[in-house]
Amino acid sequence: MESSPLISYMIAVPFLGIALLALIRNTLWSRCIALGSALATLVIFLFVFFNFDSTKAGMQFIHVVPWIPAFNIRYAVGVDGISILLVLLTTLLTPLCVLCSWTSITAHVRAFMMLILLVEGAMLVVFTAMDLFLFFVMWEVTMIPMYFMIILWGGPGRIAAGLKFILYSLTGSLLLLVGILALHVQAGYSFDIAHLGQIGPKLSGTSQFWMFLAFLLAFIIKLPMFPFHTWLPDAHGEAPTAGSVILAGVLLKMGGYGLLRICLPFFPDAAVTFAPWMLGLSVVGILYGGLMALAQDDIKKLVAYSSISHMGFVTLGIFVFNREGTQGAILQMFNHGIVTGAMFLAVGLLYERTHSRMIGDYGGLYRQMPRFVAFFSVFAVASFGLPGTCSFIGEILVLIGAAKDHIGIVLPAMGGIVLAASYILWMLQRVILGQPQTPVASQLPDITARELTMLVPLALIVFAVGVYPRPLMELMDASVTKLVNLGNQGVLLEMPSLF
Amino acid sequence: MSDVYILIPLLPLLASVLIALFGSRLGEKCAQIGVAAVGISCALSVAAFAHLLYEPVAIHIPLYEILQSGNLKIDFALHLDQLSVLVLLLVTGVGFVVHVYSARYMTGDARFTRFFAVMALFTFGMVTLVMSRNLLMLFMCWEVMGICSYLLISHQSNRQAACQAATKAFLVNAVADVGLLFGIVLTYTTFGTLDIPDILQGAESIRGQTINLLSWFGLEGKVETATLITLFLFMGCLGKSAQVPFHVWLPNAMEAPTPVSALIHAATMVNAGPYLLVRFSALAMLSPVAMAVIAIVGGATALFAGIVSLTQSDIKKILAYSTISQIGFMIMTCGLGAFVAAIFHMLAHGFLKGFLFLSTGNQLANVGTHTHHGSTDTPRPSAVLCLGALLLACVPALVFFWGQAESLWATHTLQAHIAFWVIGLLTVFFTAMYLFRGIVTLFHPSEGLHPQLFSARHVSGIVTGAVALSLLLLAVWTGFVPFLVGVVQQPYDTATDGALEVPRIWAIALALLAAAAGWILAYARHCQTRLRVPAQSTWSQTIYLLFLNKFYFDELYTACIVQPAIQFSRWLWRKVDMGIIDRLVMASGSRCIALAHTLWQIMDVRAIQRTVGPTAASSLPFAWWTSEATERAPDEPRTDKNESVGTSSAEFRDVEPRTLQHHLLLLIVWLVAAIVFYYWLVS
Repeated sequence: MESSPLISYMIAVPFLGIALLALIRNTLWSRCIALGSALATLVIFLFVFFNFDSTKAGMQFIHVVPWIPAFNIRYAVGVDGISILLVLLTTLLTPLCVLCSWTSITAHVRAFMMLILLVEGAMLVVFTAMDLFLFFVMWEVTMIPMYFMIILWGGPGRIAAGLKFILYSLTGSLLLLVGILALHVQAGYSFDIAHLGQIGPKLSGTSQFWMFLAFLLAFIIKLPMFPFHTWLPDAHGEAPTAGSVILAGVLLKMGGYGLLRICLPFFPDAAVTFAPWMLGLSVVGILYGGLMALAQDDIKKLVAYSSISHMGFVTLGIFVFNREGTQGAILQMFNHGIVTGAMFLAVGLLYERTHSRMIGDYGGLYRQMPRFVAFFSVFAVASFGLPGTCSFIGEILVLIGAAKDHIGIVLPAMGGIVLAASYILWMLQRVILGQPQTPVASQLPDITARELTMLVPLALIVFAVGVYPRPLMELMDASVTKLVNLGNQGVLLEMPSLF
Repeated sequence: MSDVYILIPLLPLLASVLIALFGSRLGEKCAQIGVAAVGISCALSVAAFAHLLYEPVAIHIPLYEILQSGNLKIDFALHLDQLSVLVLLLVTGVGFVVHVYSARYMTGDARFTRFFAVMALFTFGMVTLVMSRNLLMLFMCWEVMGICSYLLISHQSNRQAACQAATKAFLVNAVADVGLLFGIVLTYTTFGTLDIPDILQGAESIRGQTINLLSWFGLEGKVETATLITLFLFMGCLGKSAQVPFHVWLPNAMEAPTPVSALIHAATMVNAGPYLLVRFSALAMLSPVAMAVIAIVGGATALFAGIVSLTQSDIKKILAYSTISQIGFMIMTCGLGAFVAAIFHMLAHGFLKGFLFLSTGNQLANVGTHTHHGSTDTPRPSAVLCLGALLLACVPALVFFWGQAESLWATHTLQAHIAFWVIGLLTVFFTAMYLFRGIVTLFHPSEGLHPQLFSARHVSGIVTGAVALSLLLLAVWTGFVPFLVGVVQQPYDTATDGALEVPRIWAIALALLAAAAGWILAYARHCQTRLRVPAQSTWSQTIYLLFLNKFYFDELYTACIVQPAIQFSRWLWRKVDMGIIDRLVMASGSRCIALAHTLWQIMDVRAIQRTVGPTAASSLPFAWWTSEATERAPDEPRTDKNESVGTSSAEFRDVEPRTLQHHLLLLIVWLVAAIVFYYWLVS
């Protein structure tokens, strides 16, 4: 289907849910409405998903409405092979976020649910936008609910974490705004992503260089990439479970998506110029994130630092400019969303029971919580990319992609996998094996049916993608091929002097 | 018709899933599912063996295409040839026996169902590894076995030692597996495919090809491709097969229940290394350097583990080091080019060692402790157990020196030739010694007793049995070589240039003599004094302690790798992440806020008030929102000082945002900066 308003319906559902929530005062009802809207979004998207034509490279399900004609701004949405997995991820994780906040959020439930739906709606637009202005506006909108989720429902250090998050995000988004406006002016006052994609590569080397840099910084702060990562551990650590899941599961992917949607096709020459630096930083990030995670005593921070390491694989895959690498990077984003989202859900379950995030406060959980331990172990081993789980496929694709031209950096990147196995297994050993370290840890109840409902679909996806990733790979094949062909036309630029 | 062999891996997988899902309802009945599944797999393996015996053509069973990306296309398929079917026999055979055995052994265990689910999954992993046609599939199974081993070692999760052993086993393997994975990636970039038969067929084409490892750094670092690939694949073997320096996990892995030790850590999983080497023999033979490294590592391991085994007092540790030593022997044989001999040794060793472990398990269940001392019970050793040990001691001798003795050394110099010869003999000698010692001490724990191993009746029986079985082994051997022709690379051609000419019969007599010498020496030592630290001189004591402590490998790794890594990561976190990067960010944040404060002071308080006057100031929009924000401040997000202290740095506490003003001022400063940047960009 070339053109269809289905995507718009999907986007409208969370916003309708917010409107409905505004009218309801009952707590239980607001939970149900939030869950209902999230599920309805998922159902509508599944229609899109199963009708998606994977042989076409361009946008599908396009829906265009003029928004501010005076400035050439349109509301234009659509999905292609690059965005479809990320939209799937968003719609999949949001119902789980609502479910995991079912009992853990007791104050201002209605407001919390509205924020979850708001951030979902905004992310859906970011991933489907075909208009750069729309993209930017919704990019900004995702920041606000996240900020309030952290500072109103977060842990003890929430204010500091919230401020750090907003500081970084503002820096990033202002750079993004500058980039967008500069591109807008240079490309003849257009915000159309498809049009800009044709203008961008024709721009002069210097303007490509600086605009690329502005976009790049915005995206790698969001991703986050070493050394712009310090907001992430605090924000993840202090956010409520649902906030961490959204943040790690989907929000970070906006950075990777931006790189693929904007940086690479718009400025291929600059991308080629920056590639060695980005590859180097990716590998440093993989190892650095792993080492940081090894040093943590706080499970949530451990998972947060592991995200930095995993995102290193994403940038590594993106900047090798071949199909294996790019597909691996997209798959890695999807897998990371599933696995890390699941890890945060699982840690959230523990936190709900003990109100402690410290590894040292647990131990010997296998006796009281065998079902929880089974799921937790599955997600933990998936997190370090055990073959047979989804992360392995993403990582091996990225590594194979990288090996084509840069065999020398593959080995250090693989060191990240060893580090990942170390911190995960060490954590598992201290949390689920051995003897309980506190009296509380020795009598925790096992997971309930509601919690089981959250974890089972994620575990199924982990294994399904791990042993049969081909359907997902096919979805993005055509779009990625087109993107890589564009990117490969890039030539190495002369580095412009700073002044 | 041949598609039925797909059931060989499928049945254990199904059994595992069934037990995992419904185990809690089935209780101890789930053992039957596992036994039945592995039993049928075993029967099918025998059928496949017969099939290949009559029709020696490799069977190919396509499964599905797992992924396709660019030129990378990975088809999962099963491949049954003479090599894989032999290893299958070992895996399913021992697996079946172990399943039957553990159904009884594990009765009453709290985690009975988990045990059987993981055992079945492990069998699936190993079977698929042997049958896989694709290198990536092989790697996936390789890791599935690793995680199963982890789960089984940590079976008694309340014991700290078991948990640590499990983590250690997995991590040591993870380091080695990085080598394997890199080897696989390298194979793909070299051959453009991961299909094993295709790779082997194309192996000849990369002779002499080189690769520049340091190209990314713009340097020259050329290495022969075949050497590189073989060595990286071999690194994976080092981990799984517990070779020096990756052997440290195996002795600790004996924390697992005894049937697990029999199945995984003696008979099957550790064989994955030699299997991989033999499978890629065509590639390995291209590189004399890699072959030499393999032979040296294998030989060193065989000798080292054999000696360490002599000093241990825990029967399971003795058997563990014995396994390391024997696998080292196989790997050395591979490195010398006698791949068929390695496979033969693998099979013989797998069956015999599995048998020894299970017998030991019985014995331990009776005695109730792993170590020799502390029990007054003196059960009679079974003659069969002695027979097993005797045979195991003789197998290397038979294989190594009968096998392909003349052709082993064709490409090596005379010195190397003699060195390997001596290592072989010494290993045989030590094997006989520690096996005898292990068995005797297991059954005669009390001091001073003469081992009454055999009554006169038994001696003649055992000797007859041993001779008969040795002859049987040799008979099998003669059929063995032709069976594997075409699948496994044949050793180097017999060279005449200075190779030591020793008649085969003398070679084997010498080897058996070494075994007998070891046996007799151990007997003599045992009658004399047992397990006493030799106190003759300090240097011999030092050497003894060195071996007793396994060359301090564990301590070395803890002190040089594990602790520094953890310390370094903590240091990096405190000093670099929080101390530099985070601090810079917070400092820039606080500078911005301070700047905003100054601006506000100048603009609002001084400039505006001075020029316009206090009453009119509120009408200006700028002043309006500042005052507004100040008024509203108490309602703004909770910013009590106490709450925010938690994670922020000290720097940050000073500039903590108390009001909305700060946020807005910050925004404005950034906006100004952005506008400046923008105009500069556009102009």
